[in-house]
Amino acid sequence: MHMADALVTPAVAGTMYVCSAAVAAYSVKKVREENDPKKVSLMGVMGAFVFATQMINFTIPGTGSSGHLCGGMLLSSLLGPYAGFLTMIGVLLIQCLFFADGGLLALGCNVWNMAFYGCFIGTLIWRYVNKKEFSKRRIALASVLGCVLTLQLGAFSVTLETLASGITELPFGVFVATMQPIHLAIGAVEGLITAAVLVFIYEARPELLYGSNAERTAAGKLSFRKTLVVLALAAVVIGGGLSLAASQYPDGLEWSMEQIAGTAELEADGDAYETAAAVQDATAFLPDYAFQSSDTAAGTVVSGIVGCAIVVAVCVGACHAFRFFRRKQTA
Amino acid sequence: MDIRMEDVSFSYEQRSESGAETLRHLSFEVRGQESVGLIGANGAGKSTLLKLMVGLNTADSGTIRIGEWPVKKEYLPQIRAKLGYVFQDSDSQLFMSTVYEDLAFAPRNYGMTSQETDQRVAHALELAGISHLRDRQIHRLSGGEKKLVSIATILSMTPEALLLDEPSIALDPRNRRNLIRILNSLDELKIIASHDLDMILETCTRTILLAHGEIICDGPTREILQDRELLEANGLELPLCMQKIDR
Amino acid sequence: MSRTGTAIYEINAMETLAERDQWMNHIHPLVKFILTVGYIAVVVSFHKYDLIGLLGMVVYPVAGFLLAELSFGRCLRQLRVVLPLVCMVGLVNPFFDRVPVWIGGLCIRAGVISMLTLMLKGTFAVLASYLLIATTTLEQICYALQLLHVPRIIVTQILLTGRYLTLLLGEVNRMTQAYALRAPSQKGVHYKVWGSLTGQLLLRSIDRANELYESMLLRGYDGDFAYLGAHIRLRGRDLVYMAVWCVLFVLLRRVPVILWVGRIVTGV
Repeated sequence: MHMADALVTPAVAGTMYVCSAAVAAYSVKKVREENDPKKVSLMGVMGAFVFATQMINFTIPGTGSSGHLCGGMLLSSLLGPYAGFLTMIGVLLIQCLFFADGGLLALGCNVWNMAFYGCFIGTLIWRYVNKKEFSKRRIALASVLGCVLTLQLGAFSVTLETLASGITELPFGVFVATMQPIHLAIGAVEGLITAAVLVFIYEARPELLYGSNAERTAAGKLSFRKTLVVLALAAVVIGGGLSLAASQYPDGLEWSMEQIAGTAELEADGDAYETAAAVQDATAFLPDYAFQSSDTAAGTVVSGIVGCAIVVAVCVGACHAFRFFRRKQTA
Repeated sequence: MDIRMEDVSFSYEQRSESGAETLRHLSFEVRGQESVGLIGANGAGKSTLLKLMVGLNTADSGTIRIGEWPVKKEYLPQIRAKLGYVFQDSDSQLFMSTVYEDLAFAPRNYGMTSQETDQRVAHALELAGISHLRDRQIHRLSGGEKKLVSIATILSMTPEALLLDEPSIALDPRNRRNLIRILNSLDELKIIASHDLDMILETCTRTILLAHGEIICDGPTREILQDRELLEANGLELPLCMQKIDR
Repeated sequence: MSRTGTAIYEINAMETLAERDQWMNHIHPLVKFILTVGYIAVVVSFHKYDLIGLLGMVVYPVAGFLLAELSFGRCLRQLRVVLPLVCMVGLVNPFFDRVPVWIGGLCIRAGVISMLTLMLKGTFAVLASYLLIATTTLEQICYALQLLHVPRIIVTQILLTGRYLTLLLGEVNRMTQAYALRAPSQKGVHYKVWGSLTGQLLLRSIDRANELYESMLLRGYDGDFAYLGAHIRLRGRDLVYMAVWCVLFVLLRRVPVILWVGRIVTGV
């Protein structure tokens, strides 16, 4: 579910960065309040742990495929939502940098889609299901429910963010119909795997679980109502931000609307040019050489290729010259 | 420096059922530049004892004095600056990316200037005989090199005493020989907890034998390590060099 | 090699590249970080049909790889799994965007253009990130983040995660190898041991974290990795480097440079 940079526009990416940063700032404040100096080293090692276990193939019985652990759920069940969230940021950043798993620009989106839902919604469900007391069944249920729900929310957010960026021509309906069921299955599997681990911990060292007696008295409880308020506010902010971003690129959503409305056959010349002109008017960024007549288009393409080759050649030449002169300088 | 323990008792609450990690009424004193071996079977309490000295665990009763300071929360920074602790697992001790960075960690935390830090690091590298490893990345080091770097990280604070927990574990013969040589070249007070009785024989003049959380014996190394009945009664054996090889 | 083994290898390889005594590695990390993010932002902001304009942005990765003396082949090998995935994103476009475009008698769907643009954007973005991490160590990146006022807790935590990653990957590697040796017919971890195998690793990791914390305490740690940027200074050439690229990015974005050059040469 990691989003690549190509899937977002700067506006959408920026909006999600702002949201994620706000949650991060709040989490930092909360973790500082807990004042548990040990936690930082624990967070670091747990982050590495989540990362490393992503590489383990947990075979799903009956099928030939494998699943993975749900990092957000696991971290928040051990560290709490705030520390868990911050840990996930580190994991996602390193995944992005070292493994190109998710883009640097899209990091804000990924943090929101995976860390925010995973840790905060995850903790909500964790606390709700385990309200009275812990038990193997409750832990497993919380884990599965948490993973499924957070992955559904995450997948839906990916859909919204991608469409708001006008990147893909895939219509909303098709997009959703593909994303949600797939992530339902993934969520269920991840939930089961995470449940297995958490149940093991419960049986071996129950005091490690977030919300166990030692933790219940800790400050910073997550209340259901408070979280709902936060979520509602976030929805407004994100919705507003995304629609603002989307309005700069009306073609994305509108094109897909047009496709759903349905022109299955190729359009006649006139219609094509009309729509092209409409698109051209709508965005100032569209260069003047698109949608030209056939010949000028060909000429443009040739010029483009030639121009690119020349510019690259100049660039390569300049770099080699630079290196040559530097070597002379340092010699 | 002097280290004094008087009637110290300690137990881990969680593992109290097994009773294996309880220390009972320990008293002893080490001073000056002694080299003391701490021996005992697994679970005798050696690591626990060392951790009490640096305040990683708090004694339930009794007093511990490190130099002029009692082991209490307010004196821990001073104590830790003067008492170096080398962990059994080097990977728990080395967490920066290059050897230089790891050695510089402690001096920087204690507020030294970058010039002082450089000097400290160079000195520590020299003492441990690993100046050639200065800019190497830690993850590329072998087990033996990591152990020497761990010791060097402690030396960069010029401690007055060294506590070493199983230093020769996982070292091949040459690295082990290297370790023994370096330990013998260091003047500071040393307390070495180890199963490697042959190493204790070569590095320590005095030995304390721990069993079931109590001090069974405290005396010259040669005497204790040649006493087969004593060793075998407490879960140990004669050092290998003293055993006859059966063909 | 197993996945974990490959991962360890690649991480170590990147760190080695970033620690070379090389011109690009000495550029201030904040400059490189800002340029990378800025470059990606400019790249993704191109209109979906502006393929030719987008092509011009290739100069940044090209120059970067040359100046940093990085092997393009090695980069492709490392990204061989990621790049195809990134390119797949646009594959559906030709099916849904059927507006016809004529180029010299050849009729293609506009969706093909937007697909190519998407692929190119994805590739450029990934190359730019690779360039960053191949010329900047994790410590330096964390220093850059610190300068950007990212809270200390987060920065410390990123550093520790990075430091312990290779270690934990090694442990996972050993465990999965030991498992495979005793369960030769299985491809992955059987569900019966999902909990215990991972759980053991988790408990050991927590114990290790405690030891790590203790060893840091014993060396005077009080919550801050305060000395990340000890030897890094902002030099004139860092600012010049940044200025040059900023100008180029704006130029390539706003002005159809490629087209002009091409037109001048071909006389079209």
